[in-house]
Amino acid sequence: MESLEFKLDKWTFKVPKNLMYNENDCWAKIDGKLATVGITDFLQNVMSDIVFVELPKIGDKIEQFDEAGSLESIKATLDLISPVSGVIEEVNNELSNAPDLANTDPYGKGWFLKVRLTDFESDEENLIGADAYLEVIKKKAEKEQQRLKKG
Amino acid sequence: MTEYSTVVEWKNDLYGFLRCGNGHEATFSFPPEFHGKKGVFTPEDAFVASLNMCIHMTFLAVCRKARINLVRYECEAKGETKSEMGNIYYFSKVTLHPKIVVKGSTMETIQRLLGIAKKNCIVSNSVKCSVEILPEITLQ
Repeated sequence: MESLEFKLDKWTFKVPKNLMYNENDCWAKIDGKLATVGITDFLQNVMSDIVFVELPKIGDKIEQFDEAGSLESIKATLDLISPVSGVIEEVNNELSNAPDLANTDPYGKGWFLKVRLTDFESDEENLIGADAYLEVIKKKAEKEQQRLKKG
Repeated sequence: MTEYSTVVEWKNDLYGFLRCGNGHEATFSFPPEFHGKKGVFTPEDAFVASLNMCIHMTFLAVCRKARINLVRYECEAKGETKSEMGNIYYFSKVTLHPKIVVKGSTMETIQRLLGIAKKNCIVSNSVKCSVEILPEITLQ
């Protein structure tokens, strides 16, 4: 998987080129009418050790930018904001037993959902590619650094 | 940034009085092996206890986040000291022996959550001695 990278201090954030992203740090891999959805390397780093994942039910209908599950680490609780609209076809039950898969392999074994797409032509207009997402995380990282400096 | 403060005041003989920022108060002394008094809090107790308490509290927070059904947690912590040139003492290692009972989880999960607790424990992150956790986990 070819990726763009953004390095900041001890961290390296990977952004695979073949995925689409929303600004809520979720990715979608489009394969015909099916999208696999997960969280980005940037988000898993910000969250740190993920200890709990809540997933939607198979068959649930979701709109783009709907909450489609949640994740918790000792630092934060966040909703998974779906980058696509459609019907939940599969969820990654492995995450229930091993939520750290989202940390160790966010673009692989740590995927969250598979969504049967219903309106990807419209969804696509609100998604960004790897280059644009890299700029998004640079800005977020700079903002976070400034916040930490202010204490 | 968050600040935490304590105040100590000399009482008499080799006794001091501690007032913690969060409200706790205690009489303290050196431990008997350093010519202190028996039966009261000591700086050495406080050091080992701070690690023991911090990892315990952090583990509780992690368990709550991870929806773990914790039944029991009890932990003895032992701090080993060494000396340089026979007169400069320091803690070289603190070992925690938590006895943990949980319902409906796995050994791997609890081991991982203990690791996360240690990684996120503010006291553990602040000391230069090694900190080791040797748990005894019981699954129900």
